[in-house]
This record gives sequence, structure tokens and C-alpha cells, in this order.
Amino acid sequence: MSGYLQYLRYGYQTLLSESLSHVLIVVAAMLVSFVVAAMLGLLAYRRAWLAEPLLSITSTALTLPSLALFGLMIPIFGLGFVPTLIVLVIYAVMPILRNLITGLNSISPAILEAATGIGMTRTRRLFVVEVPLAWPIIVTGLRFSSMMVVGVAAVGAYVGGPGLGATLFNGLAEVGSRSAVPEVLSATIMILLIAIALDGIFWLISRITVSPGIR
Amino acid sequence: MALDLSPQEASNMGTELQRRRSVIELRDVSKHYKDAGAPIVDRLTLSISEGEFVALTGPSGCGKTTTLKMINRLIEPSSGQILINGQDVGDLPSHRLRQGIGYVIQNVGLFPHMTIADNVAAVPRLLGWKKDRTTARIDELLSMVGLEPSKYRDRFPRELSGGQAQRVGVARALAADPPILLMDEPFAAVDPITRTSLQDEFLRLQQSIRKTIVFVTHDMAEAMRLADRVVIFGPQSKIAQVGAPTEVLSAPADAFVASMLGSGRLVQLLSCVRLRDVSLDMWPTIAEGLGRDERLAALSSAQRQGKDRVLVLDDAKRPLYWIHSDTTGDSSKFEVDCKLELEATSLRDAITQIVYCPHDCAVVVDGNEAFQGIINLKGIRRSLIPLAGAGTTAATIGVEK
Repeated sequence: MSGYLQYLRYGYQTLLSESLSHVLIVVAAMLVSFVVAAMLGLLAYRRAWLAEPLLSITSTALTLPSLALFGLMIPIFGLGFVPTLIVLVIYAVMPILRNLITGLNSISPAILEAATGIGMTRTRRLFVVEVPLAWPIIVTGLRFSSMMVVGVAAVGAYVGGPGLGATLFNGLAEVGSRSAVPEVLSATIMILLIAIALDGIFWLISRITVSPGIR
Repeated sequence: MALDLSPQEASNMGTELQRRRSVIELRDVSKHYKDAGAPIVDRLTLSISEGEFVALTGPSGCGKTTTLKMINRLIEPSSGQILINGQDVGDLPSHRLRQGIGYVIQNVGLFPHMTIADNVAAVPRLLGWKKDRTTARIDELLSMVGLEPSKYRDRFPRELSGGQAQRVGVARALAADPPILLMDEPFAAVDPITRTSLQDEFLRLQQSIRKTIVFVTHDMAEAMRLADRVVIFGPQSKIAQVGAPTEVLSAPADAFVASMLGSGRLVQLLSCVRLRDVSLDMWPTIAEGLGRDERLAALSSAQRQGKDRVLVLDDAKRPLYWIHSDTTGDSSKFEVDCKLELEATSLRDAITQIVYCPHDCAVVVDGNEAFQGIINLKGIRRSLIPLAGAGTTAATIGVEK
């Protein structure tokens, strides 16, 4: 315990700045993923036959071990922020896209027919009726995705990415030394705290943005 | 030709012409799908006048819904032409066309994430109405369909019963005051009791709004009850019969129509024919406030016609009470227990009333409560024979042997 406190006294600044960069890369990855998933989702909405192949491709990406994927990035994008971001986006897109497509497909045909029947154009129908109705499912996808990304981001340290992975890998590399356990422990706790905070934020977003009529 | 019309006649003729103007015209319209052999709608020609309530009915898969959806281009016809007010429906972008046509569907299709007010405001918003105009219209419409605006405006569809949701569906369709209303099985998803009251309310509403309505239903009885004219789709997507409900019920065009109408045909006819359509029997009456001798004289003259009582009317010809002779040598009163309204009462309602009435005789009054005559079971039977068709046998009117 005293070893842990001693570590914190010297290591807290690193820990805080790594936490901050961890949050930043997660937020960046989520923003990019949301845009990518929305574009792919729109494509699948316009061309229904694309939905299946898109979902298979993105699901397959999810089965790749993250370490392998990070390793693959090195020859193409080198080290640092960019390869980490790309890997995180590859992971994050699938749950968002899947929930987007599921959400849009779950809307009752009667509602769609009514929307078209009263004279909405396809675009208007999408934004005024379909997206708001699919929104709770879409937000759930974002929430799930963000949890996953917080974890995977730690592995990004393998390619020199930002975040708490650096401390984590440091600790793991020197198992047996006095600082090993405190490093691993505090990095893990910070990752958990970030995940919990993010989950809370998405809960709040969903409370605020989902219409009370469908909550 | 010289026409010499009083202003009254001229305006009557004007409204008559206007009323007859054809608003929706289907010319030789067909729809077939690639994979299916037979067309779902086969060279259909139909003209619907302004303010007319037309019901399309027939067995499932007969093409009635397809026909309806071709009018607002939710389905595009394979061939033929559909005109609204003389203009081809294909001339406008489809969403523009639909913004000008009210549309009500079976499952209501209210937008669950929007409040009742926002649902009703959907079309006005598409049309870019000013906010205060839309707000005023929402309240007007909610009151019109019998929902207190202050109570329902901010609710969500899931907080409504099926009947209330259907009312909102009608309000949404009427929001921009479209001249045409298309309704696809609008009352099918609610329970029978709610359905009857929704139908009644809707008929009353239609009395005041006078829209041109095309109404799809698989329920023959509903079609007969609501519509001015019924289009019955037969096998092979052909029209089997078109006509007013009483025409169709009294003279089905063929065995198919008769079988569609089923054994309830006579009962349906009873629901369609109103007291104003049949000849009423007269009955001896006297004015109120006459002396004993005059009352007794009236009674004895009635007795010579085989009638044991006389109806007393007030100055405005409103029935007050019956009198009959009693044992004291004077007359005594008893109340009029069965009084029916001429315009609104169907023969079916009349029978129900008369059956529960101790005297097999109902007094019929007009909208001002003035006495018009009486009707009894014998009179109803007599007026039905010609309606049910000459040479009617138990089999042709669908009575089970």
C-alpha cells in the first residue's frame, strides 16, 4: 500500500495526462466512427442489398485480435496517434452501424406508409420520422461502441498511441519490480473510471435526446 | 333555350352541378406485377363526384387497396390514367400530390415520438404554414374529432386508446383541409363497439365537411352503412357491382355479390333504409285542449277504423300523449313511449324500438318534433317487399331455410 502511494506521488502527473489523452483519442475515434457509420448506414438505407455485406465486413473486423490489427498498422501508418485512431474506428464502426441499420429496419411499416402517404419526401421522412424513432437503438450502439473503444485504446500503446496503455505496458514489462503492480493497477482503475464516466454521459444523452413518446 | 330561374333555383342548380362534378376519375386503370399472372386491378374505370363517399369493398386480394393507393401514387398503375380535378396525378411530384390528399390508414400510423399536436401539424409543416395558423388549426381539429385540445395536445400516441388514436389519424388527414380523403380500412383495428361509435361520429363529421371520400373496407356492412355509393370488386379483379347501398342490397347484380352480402343482406338493408325512405301510416289525431265530447267523438271515429286510441298534438303538431276510452265513459291519457326521428332512424333501429314498445306502433316525428305518421312492424314488412326485389323468395334474400 505504501508502495502504491509512493508511486502515485511521483506518477500522478503522468497518470493524469495519459488519462486525458486516453479520453481524447476515444472521443476522436467515436466522432469519426459515428460519421463513418452514418455514411455507411445511409448507403445501406438507400441500397437495401448493401446492408448484409456491410454488416458482415464490419463484424469480421471485430473478430481480429486487436494486437494483430495494431501490428498490421505499423508498416502502413507507422507509430503514434493515426494508426491507433484507425484501429479504434475499425472496431467502433460495427456496433454503431449494426444498431443504425437494425433501428431503421425496426420501424413499423404503417408509420412509414403514413409518412409517405401524407406527402413527406424520402429525405424528410428519414430525418423527421425514421432517425428519431431509431435513435434509442442508435444511442445504445454508440454507448456499447464507446465502452469497447476505451478498452482497446489501451492496447494502442503497442504502436506508440496516446493514453493509459503506456503506463499499463510499462508495468507489465517490469513484473517483479516495485512499481509494476501500482502502475498496472492505477492504469486499470483509470480506464475503468473513464468507461464509467462515458457510460454515464451516454445515459444522459439518451435521456435528453430520446422523445418521451418512445422512452 | 331560355332559362328563367329564380335566384334560389339558380343557386340550387349551381350546387347541384358542382356536386356532380367529377373529382377523381380512373380511366382504364390496370396494375399487374411481373411475377403474378393475373392483374391485381384490371381495366378499372370509375368516376367519383365532389362530396361523394365511395366505399371500395370485396374479398381480400381483390385490388381494392391497390386501387386506393394508385390514387395517391403509393402504387403506380401499370396502365391507364388517373385524374384528379381533370389533372393527371402523374403531373405533380408524388409528395406534392399527397400533401393535397388526406390519408388515413388501418394501423393509424401516428408518429409515436411526436405529440398529438405535432402529429396533427405534420402536413401544415410540410406546407410551410405559419406557426400560429398551425396552432389554431390543431385545436380546431382536435375539437372537431371530439378530443379536448388542452387535455390531448401534449400527449403522446401511446397514451391514447385505439379509438382516440384513430380520431387523431383523421384529424391529421384533415389538417390542411384537403378536398379528398383516402381511407384504408380506418376502423378495422378497433373493437366493434368503438368502431360503431367512430363510424357514427365520422358520418356526422362528413355531414359538415363534405369531403370527397374513397374508403376501402372488407366489411360489406361497414361499406353499406357509411357510403353513398359502393363499388364491389369481384373475382378476377373486375367490378362486380356499383351502386347505392340500397340498390346493391335490394338487387345484387349476380350470385357473387349476393354471396358477398351473405345471409345478413336483409338486416343490412334494414340498416340502410331510413324512415324517410318508406311510406308511413297515418293515424287519427286531435288537437290538445278539446272537451270530453270531442275527444270521445274522435275516439269512436277511430274505433270505426279499427283503432283504439287517438294521438293528441300541440299547436306545432308535436305529439303529446295518447288517449283511449276508459271504463268511466271518459278518455284517459297515456304517454307516447316510442317516438322515432324521420331522417336519422334506420328501419333496423325502428324494429328494435317497436319490438320493445307495448303497442307495436311507433310515432314518427321530423327534426322539429312535428308528427309525420306512425310505423309498425306490418308497415316495415310492407315497405321491404318492393325493396328486397320483385319475386323475392327466402332464398334470394338470403334467409336460411
